[in-house]
Amino acid sequence: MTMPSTSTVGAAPDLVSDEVAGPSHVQPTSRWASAGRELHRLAAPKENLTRLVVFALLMGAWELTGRWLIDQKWISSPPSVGERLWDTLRDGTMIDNATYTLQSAAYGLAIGTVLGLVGGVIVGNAPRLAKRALDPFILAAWSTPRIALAPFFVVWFGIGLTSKVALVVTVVGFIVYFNVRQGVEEANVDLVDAMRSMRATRWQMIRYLTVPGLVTWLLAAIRIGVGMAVVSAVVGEISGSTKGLGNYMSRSLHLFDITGAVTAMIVMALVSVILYVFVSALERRVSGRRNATGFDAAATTKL
Amino acid sequence: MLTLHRRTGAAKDAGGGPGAPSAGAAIEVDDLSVMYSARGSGPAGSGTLAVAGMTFEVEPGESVVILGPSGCGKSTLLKVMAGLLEPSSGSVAVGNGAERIGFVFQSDALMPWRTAVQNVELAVLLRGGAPREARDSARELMDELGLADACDRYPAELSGGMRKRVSLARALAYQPSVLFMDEPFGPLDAQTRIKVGNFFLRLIDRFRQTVVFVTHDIDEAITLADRIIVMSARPGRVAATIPVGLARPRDYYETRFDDGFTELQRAVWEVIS
Repeated sequence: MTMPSTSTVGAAPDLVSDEVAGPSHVQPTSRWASAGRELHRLAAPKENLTRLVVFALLMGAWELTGRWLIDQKWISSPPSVGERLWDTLRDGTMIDNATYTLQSAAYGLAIGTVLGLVGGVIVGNAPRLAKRALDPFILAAWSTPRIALAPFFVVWFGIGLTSKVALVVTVVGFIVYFNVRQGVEEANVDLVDAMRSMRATRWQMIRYLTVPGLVTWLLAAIRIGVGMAVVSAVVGEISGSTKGLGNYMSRSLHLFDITGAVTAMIVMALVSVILYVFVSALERRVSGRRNATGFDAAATTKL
Repeated sequence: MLTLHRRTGAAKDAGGGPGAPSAGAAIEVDDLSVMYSARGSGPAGSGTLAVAGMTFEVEPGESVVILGPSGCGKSTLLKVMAGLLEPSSGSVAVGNGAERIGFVFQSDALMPWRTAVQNVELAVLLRGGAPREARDSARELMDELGLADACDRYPAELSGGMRKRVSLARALAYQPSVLFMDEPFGPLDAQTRIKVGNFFLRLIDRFRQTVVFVTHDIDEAITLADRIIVMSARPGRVAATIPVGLARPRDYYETRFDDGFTELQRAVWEVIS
């Protein structure tokens, strides 16, 4: 009458199970491979074909609009922009400008990350009363349109690199600050308890839990911050500069050189995409293939 | 080679040497009370009494299940027993006070930035193992527990059942003399629960760990326990102690058809209602 039971056999207990999540063809990979996978994902042949079609459709629509609906002198055209891109890349103009913009973005990103990290760790660990007292001011500062600050920075720091870096810092710093603070405040209680149950020392807690936990949040913040850094650098350049993609764009517009302005915009987009892919790959490599926990609300920055 | 502390009669036989654990209970809980005080207010006075004057013992190698309704303070009790929370009054003694403990959480509490095997390695490192030993013994343990395929995956890439087993593997890698389990199978679906439950039953049959297991599931309690401590609703007290004499090895699913299971269900139910 008794049902044959699969697991009450007295011999060596069968602890082996077949249960593995995810597609079985995925091989265990190193952390480096995951970075490669990120790039590979963007270069997957099937998607690329679709992307090519979308690109061709967009270009076609642009070209036809210029022929039939709006005079090309207002919106330029794909061939003119392509030609300008080729020329300016060859004579180095666009490379110089892009480098300048990248420089402001990168310096601002670095300084903003450090300031945001320090601020986030300090406020995250601060007593409740101090947080409540500070929060309205921090939110007020965060809500201030940064574009309004750009002219101030030009007056204070001149039309050189410093004023652009300062603008980038005010944007990136807050993004990192909010992320790090959240990371500090939401330190997983069970993870802390797990470490305590294994009698981790204070140093082991910092080394194995606090720092790696923060790195994850920090990288998510930087991923968002990268795009914002380029945008802020360009805004700074439009407000007052002699170089940079933003400067090239506004200068072209003053001369009714729509082709030049559009070319600069396309280069900006390219620079942002390249930086984003780079940081995403870095993030995946460092934080593992876990789901990214980004403070994505910060992506909708007011500028 | 898998070395785990076996809390059997061996401890008693070896007794007498300096620092040897006392021959008595693995865990002694004496008149334990836990008060949650409102945040910011003083330590004494106003607050919620979570656990009120509980006294019981757990024998070496015994599986004790603490059963009670949600919010009766059973998780709080377990955390105090494991030294993660301070009692308001009374005391808890685990072995000679220097025993290593393993704690398995309702959440898996795995570090998302470490692969499965790296999570297990951490337990070896924390008990003082060298990095090389950690690498070797973590992989060996994972292998032995049928988790070889999961080694290099991150927790986010594993199913709930796999994560739970990795989290058990980590607890075992720490070589604890007592395992504390806080509703570990609660979040799993019925099928996975039976799988992981059997996995766990095989482990305790094999290593004879001292186990303190918290659950609100009567069937689960009977299946796993040598003895069930039924807690009353908040504030938690010992409402009854029910010995479970069912034969081992048990099966997480099949055992419910064994003779005597229904009587135990009835006995537990009578105490609860």
